[in-house]
Amino acid sequence: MSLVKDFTKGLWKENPVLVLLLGMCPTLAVTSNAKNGLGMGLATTFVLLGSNIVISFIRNIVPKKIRIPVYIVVIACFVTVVQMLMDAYAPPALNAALGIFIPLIVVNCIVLGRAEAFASKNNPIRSAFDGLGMGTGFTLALVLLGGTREFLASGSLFEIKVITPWSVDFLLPTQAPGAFIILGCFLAAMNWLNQRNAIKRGEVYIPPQGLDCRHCSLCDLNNNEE
Amino acid sequence: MSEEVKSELLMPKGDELVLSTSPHIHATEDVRSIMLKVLIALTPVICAGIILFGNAAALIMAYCVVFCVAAEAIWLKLAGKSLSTLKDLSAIVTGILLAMNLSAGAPWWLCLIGSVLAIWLAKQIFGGLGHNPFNPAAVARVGLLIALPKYMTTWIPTRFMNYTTADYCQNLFTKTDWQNVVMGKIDAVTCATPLGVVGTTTKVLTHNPEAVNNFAQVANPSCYWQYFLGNMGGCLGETSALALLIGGLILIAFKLIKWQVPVFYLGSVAIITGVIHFFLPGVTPPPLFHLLTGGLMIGAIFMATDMVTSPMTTMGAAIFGVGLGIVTCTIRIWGNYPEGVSFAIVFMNALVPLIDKFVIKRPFGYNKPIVEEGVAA
Amino acid sequence: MTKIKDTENIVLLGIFLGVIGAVAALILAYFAQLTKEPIEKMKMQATNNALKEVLPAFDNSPSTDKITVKSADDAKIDVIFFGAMKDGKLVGVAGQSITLKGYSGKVKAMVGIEPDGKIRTVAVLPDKKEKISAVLITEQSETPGLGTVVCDRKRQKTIFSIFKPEGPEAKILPPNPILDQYAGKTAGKDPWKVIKDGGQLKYITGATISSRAVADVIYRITNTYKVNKKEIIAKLSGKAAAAK
Repeated sequence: MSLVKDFTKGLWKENPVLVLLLGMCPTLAVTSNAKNGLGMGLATTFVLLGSNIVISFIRNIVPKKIRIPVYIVVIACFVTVVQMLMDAYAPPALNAALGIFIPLIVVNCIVLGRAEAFASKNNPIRSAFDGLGMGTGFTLALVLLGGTREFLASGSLFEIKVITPWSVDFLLPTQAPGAFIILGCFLAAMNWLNQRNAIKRGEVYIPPQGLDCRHCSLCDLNNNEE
Repeated sequence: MSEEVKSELLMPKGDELVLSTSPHIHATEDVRSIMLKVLIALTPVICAGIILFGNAAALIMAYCVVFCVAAEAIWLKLAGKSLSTLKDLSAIVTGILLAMNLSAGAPWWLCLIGSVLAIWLAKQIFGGLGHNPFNPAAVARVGLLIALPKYMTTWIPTRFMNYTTADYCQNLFTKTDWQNVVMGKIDAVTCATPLGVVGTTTKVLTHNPEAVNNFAQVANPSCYWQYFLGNMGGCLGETSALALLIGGLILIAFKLIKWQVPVFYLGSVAIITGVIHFFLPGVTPPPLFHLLTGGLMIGAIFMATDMVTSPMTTMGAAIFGVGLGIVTCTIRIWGNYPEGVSFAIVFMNALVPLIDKFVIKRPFGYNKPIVEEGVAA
Repeated sequence: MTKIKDTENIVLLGIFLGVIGAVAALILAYFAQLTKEPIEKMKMQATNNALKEVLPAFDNSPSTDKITVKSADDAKIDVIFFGAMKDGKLVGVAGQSITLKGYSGKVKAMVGIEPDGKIRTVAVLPDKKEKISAVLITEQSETPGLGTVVCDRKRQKTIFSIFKPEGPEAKILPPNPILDQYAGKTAGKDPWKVIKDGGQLKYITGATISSRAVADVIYRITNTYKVNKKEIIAKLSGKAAAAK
């Protein structure tokens, strides 16, 4: 039961992009079309899964003082492996589009965030499910964002024209400003849906707790104030 | 904590706000009357656009106004707001300003997309008129420029630019183009804007005579009079500096805008380009060229001065104007796009709250609160 | 002895980090070994794919049969020529080079130059036959929507084309009026110019600089080929023969 929960929370309730707002750099930069979003999502999922499992295994022997450098080494190792595998087997167009963003997965907040917040406190099986769920949620959000941007720009999805008479490309959504605008629209829609569902159930809508800057214990900012 | 202290000291207590008995002086000014005055100020610009570009200009204005009003009505309906705010004419003003920022050759759907961007994205999503941080027309122009650069940078010549007139037109299109039109080889002649010509001219970083004459084909005194009248390629409303200046005077006469914004904006552009032109004449044309071409005049007079999106204080307006000038010159001289006015306006709009906070006026008789230790940082 | 988790001993910490690093390095070394060959193959395939677009059918591997020549007009820029062989004969040459005159940085182009198919010995290729058969821009960062119009050849897939078999149009290079106007041209004495600069070439309004850059790089390749023709043909045929 709890394994299912570990997996599903990443899909909607704690979706890394739409709720936690982590990993904005790849989210905004690579999602100019659905294919790039899918590629980036899958690569990140692989890294998340691998690093979560490994970190969970070594969680009891890693000295507290140097845990962050150790996590980064583990993550960087996985990212480099992913990069080499993509160079070798991914389609050249996808590789060219994602090229500079793959190394950035190392500093993607989701990966380090899950390592610190979940994998370092839970057993490998739960951590694997957590990584898989978070990765899937990330992929879904990226594909959704990329697909929307691509569709609004040229009426196509996965580089296949859906609306054939659409001949003039509307470039705003594929550019950086469009990424921000459409992500903003998604966040608004997500909050609106959650709020509506809460009201339907007769509850008071509370935005996700323990995840924002004030409640997160990652960098211990709050301890100084209190 | 400190916020509370401040607001307590700044705001009068409830019982201090004593309202005397009537009679009161009634201020007749409301949004509708302000927008009506803006429309009056826009009249010379509208006329100039129609005179210069003919019926196509009138048609584009009509499209933009209709689409803007429709977009506003649809949003209000969907959001469950009262349609009465439609009557404040603000959508019409936005529509006219949007049309002023389009090429006379714009297709109808460009007007539609622009209207939706201006009304929905720039205005209603933030809560409607008065809540929008960015000037709707500027947002629409920037959005369209990024989205459909081909349609936003294809200009058609004015009615007074043709095969026989003014020699200076030669630099904006070629005579053979006209021959081809007459012979039926091509449908229409497109016309470069003076700024576009400058943008595609290779910069010369030295100080030799070649550098001095680098921009002579579009920036010579014989051109300036034509530019002043508006006889050049460009958007409907941005070409005629004369009409825009008349409109600006009307706005100032109605006390609708702070004169500091246009004056400091135009002044800083003139000074910055003047200094650069003086030292490196091969990099940018003289200041007068910059003042007369592109969207600088309409931006400075009608778009940057928008009441909602410009600073509240005169000091703020001056800072705002100088900032606009710096951003505009940077984009014009070193940027990827030949024109930077709309980008500058959107950029500086974002900084307005900061400017307002920075130059906030100290109320008369206000003493700085004695900060108690530990209460506020 | 305190648990390793809570240790503050700096030597122990250093050793731990060192071990982790070493393990990571071992894993990476293994993967680097594993993917070395596929990566090489992939890179070659990417070049071959571009070459397939501009060259006639060939049975060698042009991406390895190549020579690098200094550009005729600028010694700092290299032009790489690839040779396409069919049944032991040189049937086409593709040149690849860059120009720095793009609107935002460099523009890289691949130009197919065709020898006449009927001629048996390529060495006596007459000047008139060194036509451009096709032009492909392989790398650019021009303004989207303006400069890219000059450079892009887009193969459009539609929802309908998924369900029906690919027609012959899927095989040929997608058209681009600006790039296609170079087909059949031969490098002359003077660099090519767009109409705006008093030349003959069409250009896209609003993307004059990109159009100029494309003309520049294509002229560079064809001109370099013209200047170094004998050497290029001799070397490319020799290389392919040696490979056989």
